[in-house]
Amino acid sequence: MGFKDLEELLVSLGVPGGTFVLGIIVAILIIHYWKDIKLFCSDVLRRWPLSLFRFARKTSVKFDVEGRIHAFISEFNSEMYEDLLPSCKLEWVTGDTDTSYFQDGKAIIRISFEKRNRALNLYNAAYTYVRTGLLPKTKPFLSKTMGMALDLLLTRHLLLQKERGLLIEFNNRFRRVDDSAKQLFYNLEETEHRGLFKRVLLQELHYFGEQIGERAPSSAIEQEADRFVDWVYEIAIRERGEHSDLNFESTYFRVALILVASEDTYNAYGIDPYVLRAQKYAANGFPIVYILARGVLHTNIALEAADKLVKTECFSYLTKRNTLKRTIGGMEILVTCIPLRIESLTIVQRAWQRLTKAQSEKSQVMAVVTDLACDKITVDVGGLEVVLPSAMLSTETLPDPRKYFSRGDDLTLEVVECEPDRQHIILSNKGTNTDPARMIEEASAFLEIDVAATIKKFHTIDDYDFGMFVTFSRLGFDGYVPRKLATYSRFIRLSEKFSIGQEVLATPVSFDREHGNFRTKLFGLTDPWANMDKCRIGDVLNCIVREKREYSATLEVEEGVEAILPVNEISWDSNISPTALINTLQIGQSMQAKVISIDHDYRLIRVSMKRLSTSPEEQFFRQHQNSIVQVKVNEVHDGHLDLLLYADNAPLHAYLPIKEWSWTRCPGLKGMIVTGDQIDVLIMDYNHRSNTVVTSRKRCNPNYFSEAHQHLKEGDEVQARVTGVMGDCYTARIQLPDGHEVEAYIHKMELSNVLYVSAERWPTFLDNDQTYRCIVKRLIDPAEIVELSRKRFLQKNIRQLAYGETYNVKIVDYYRGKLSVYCDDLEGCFIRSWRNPCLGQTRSIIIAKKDNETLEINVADADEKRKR
Amino acid sequence: MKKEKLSAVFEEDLPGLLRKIGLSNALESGELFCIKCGAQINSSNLQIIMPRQNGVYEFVCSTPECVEGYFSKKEA
Repeated sequence: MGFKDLEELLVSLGVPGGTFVLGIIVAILIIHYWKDIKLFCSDVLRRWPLSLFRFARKTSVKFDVEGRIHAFISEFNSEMYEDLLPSCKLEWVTGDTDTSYFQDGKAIIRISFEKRNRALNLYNAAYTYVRTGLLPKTKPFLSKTMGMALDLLLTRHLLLQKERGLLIEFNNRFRRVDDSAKQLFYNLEETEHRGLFKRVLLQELHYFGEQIGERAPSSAIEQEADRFVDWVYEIAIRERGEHSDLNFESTYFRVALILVASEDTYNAYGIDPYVLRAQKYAANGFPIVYILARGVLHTNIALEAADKLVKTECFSYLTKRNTLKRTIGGMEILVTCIPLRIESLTIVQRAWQRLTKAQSEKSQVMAVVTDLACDKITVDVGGLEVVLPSAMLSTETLPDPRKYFSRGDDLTLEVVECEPDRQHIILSNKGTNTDPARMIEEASAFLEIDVAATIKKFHTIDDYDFGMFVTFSRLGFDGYVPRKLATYSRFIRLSEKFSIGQEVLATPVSFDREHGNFRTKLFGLTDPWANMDKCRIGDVLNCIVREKREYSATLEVEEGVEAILPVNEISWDSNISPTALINTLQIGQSMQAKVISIDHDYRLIRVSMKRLSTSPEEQFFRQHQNSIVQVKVNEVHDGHLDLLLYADNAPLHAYLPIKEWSWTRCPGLKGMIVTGDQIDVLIMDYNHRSNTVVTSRKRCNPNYFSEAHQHLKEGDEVQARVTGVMGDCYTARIQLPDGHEVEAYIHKMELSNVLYVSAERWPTFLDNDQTYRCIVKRLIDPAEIVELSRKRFLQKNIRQLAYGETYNVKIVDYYRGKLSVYCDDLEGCFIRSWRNPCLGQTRSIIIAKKDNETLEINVADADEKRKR
Repeated sequence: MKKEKLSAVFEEDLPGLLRKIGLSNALESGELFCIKCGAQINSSNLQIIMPRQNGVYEFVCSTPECVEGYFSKKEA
C-alpha cells in the first residue's frame, strides 16, 4: 500500500484532512524510529555514489555512531525509572571552529570514514561517551577501580548489543586491565546477570551522586560506596535459605529490599508479611523499597504484594517493566525487581485517618518502635511519628524504656487523644498486650521452669565474658545469664563453650526490672567439684595452664576445678630462678600434674609437675633408709644442720633437725659443730616439700627405751654412766639387766641437795665416763629418755654414811669460805681450812658431822685427822 | 533528556583543524608525541586531541592502550 492509497483510505473512512493526518503519522514514525532511520541513512550514504562528497561521508559516519549509541541508550533507559544515560550528539570540530569552543579536558576524537577504522571509531566514541555520560556526578566519589569496572561493563553491553564484532577488541583490551578491576567487573557482571545491576545498583549510585554533589571526595565515601556495591552483589548471588541483611543503611545509602524467597511464608500468611515489611521500611524513612523475586511463582507473589501496596496509595510504581528473563545455572528464570516509591505524604494523611477512626471506635492501632531514649520512645503509626513518654508506656513505672523495648518492636496502642487539625495525638501502651507490666506478669509464670532459649550475644568487656544474653521464643523478654550461672570456670571464654544462635535450655530465675530481662541460669550446670570426691593425693591429672603469677601458676583440671602449681613444684633443679621456671609454662598449654594436697572445703588442689618423676634425694632415701652414712656439714643453724650427701659425686641435700642431734634436749647447735665437719647420721626420712633427706645423729646409737619400761620404774636406783654435758644436763646411759642400754640425763638441779650449784661449776660435779648411782625420776615417753636424779640418791644414801669411814671426794666449788666436795656417795662442805685447796682436786675425807634431816654433811681431811 | 556532546573531528577535516591551532607544521615535522606512550604522532595514528588551558594541546595515538590509559590517567 502506497501513500496515495493510504490517503484515499483515510478519505474513504471519512477522516477529514487526510493528507495532514498522514503527515502527522509519518512525522511520528520518523521521530520514533529516528535512530533506525539514521543507521539506514548512514548505510545508504556509504553505498551511494554520493559518498564521493565529503558531506555525505561525514553524515554517514555521524549517523552511524549516533544511531548505534542512541539505540543502546534508548534500550538501557527503558529499564530504568529515570534516564540515567543522556542522549548522545556528535559535534564536528573543523578548521573553521572557533578555538574558544574547545573546552579544557574535553577530548576531540578523530573519526574516519574508512570501513577498517569504523569499528575503532565506534569503540572510542562509545568508551568516551560512557566515561563522560554515565553517573557523571557519582564517579568522582567512586574508587578508580570501581569507576573503571562500571565503564567497562557498560561499554561491553553497548558493544554486545550494537557491535558484537568489536567484542574481540574489547576482550583484548580487557585482558590488560588490572586484577582488582577485573574482579570487580566480574562481580558487577554477575549482579547484572541476576537483574540487580541497573535497577538497584546503578539507580542507587545515581541517587548517591545527586545528594553528595557538594561534598569533597574522600576515601571514606569511596569505601562506603564499595560496601554498598558488595552488599548488592551478596544479595544478587544469595542462594535460597541463606541469611542476608535486607536493608543497607549508611551515611549516603538507604536501600531496603523485600525478598520473596519462600512460598512457605506466602502459603502460611499470604502477602501480609511482605506488606508489613514494606510499611516498616516506610516507617523508617526509606525512600524506595525494592521487591525482588526469582521464578514465576515468586514473581506472582511479588506482583500481588506490590499491587496491594500501590492500592493503598502509599506506594507507587517506578517502572512499568519489572521482570526480566535471565539464564541462571543453565535454566531460564524470570527475575523480578519492582521498585516502589514510598509516598510519605499520603502515608501520613492515611495515618491520621486511621487514628481518628480508631479513637472513635475505641480500637487499638499497631505501631513500630523507631527510636528510644531513657524517658520516652518514638513510634511509627502507619507513617506518622509519635512520641510516647515513659508514663504512657506501662501501668508500672519503667526505670528505662530502652531495657523493655527495642527498635522495630511492634506495639499495640490505644488512641487517647487525636486532633488531626492541631496535629495533636496522644497514644498509650498502658494495659495493652504490649504493656511490659502485663508481659512481665505473663512471663513470671515461667520462673524456675526450663525454657528453650537462643544465645543472642555475649556480654564482653576488655576481652572478658561477663555473661551472655539469650532470647526466649516463648517469653516476651530476653534473659541474661551471668557468667557464674553459665560456667564454674573463671577462665573459659563463653564464646568457646557456646556460639551465637545456639539453642540451650535455660531457667529464668527472677525478673530484673532495672534491665528489663530475666536473670537466667543454664539448665544442667553442675558443680564440677562434685566429681572430685575420688581425687586423691598422688593422682595424676590432665590440666590446662590458665594463669601465671610470680611464684605459682593456676591450672584448670576441668571446667571450674582449679589447681595451684607452686613454682618450687615445677622442677627438681633448684638452681633455676622462679621467673625462668614460670616462663617455661604457656597459657593454654595442656600438661599432666600430680596431686600433692587436696582440700575439698577450700576447693584447693595443689599439684606438682616435678613429682611426676622421682628426685635424686628421694632415690637416695629409698636406697639407704635406716642405714648410717657419713655426711658433710654444709651450714649450721641453731635449730638444724644443712648437710650434703655425696651419691655418685653429685651433692644431695640432707637435713638434721635439732631434736635428732641428741636424746637430751639440745639448747642449740651452734658451737657444737662447725661447717665442714663430717659426722655419721642415720637416714631417717624424706621431706617431699623441701626435697631433702632427713637424718638423725642420736639414732646412730640404739636406744632401748621400750625395754627400759620393762626393767625400770620411778624411784629405782640405777647405775648411770656419764657420757657428756648437753645444755643444763649431764647425758648418761643406763645398762639394763638384759644388757641393752637406754639414754638418760641428769639435770643440773638434780645434782645436789645442799651445795650451791653455780652456772660455771656444775659441769665439774660429775666426771665423763664415770658411773654414778642415781634414782630414776621419770621415764619420758615422747622423748624416749629416762630422767635421773642424783640428789634423791644422795638424800637416801646419807643414812648409809658411817663416821670414821674414808671417802674420796672432788673439790667442786669454793663458796663463801667453804669448800664444796662431791662424790658418788656424798656431798658436803669442808669446814676448816684446807691446805693448798684446788678445784677439781680429789681428796680423802671422813665424815665430821652429818644431819640426816637437813642433809648437811661436814667433812674433814682424812690424812690430817689420822696425823692428829 | 540531557545531551552528552561528543566532540569529533572528521579525518578529512583534521589538517584544517591542525592548521587552525597552529600545529600543522609540528605534525609534519614529527614534533608531536603521544602523551601516553611517547610515540611520534602523524596524520595516520592521531586518535585524540585534548585541549588544555592557554592553548596547549595533548595528543594520544590510536593504540587502544593509550586511549584507555589516557582516560584512566585523566580520572586518577
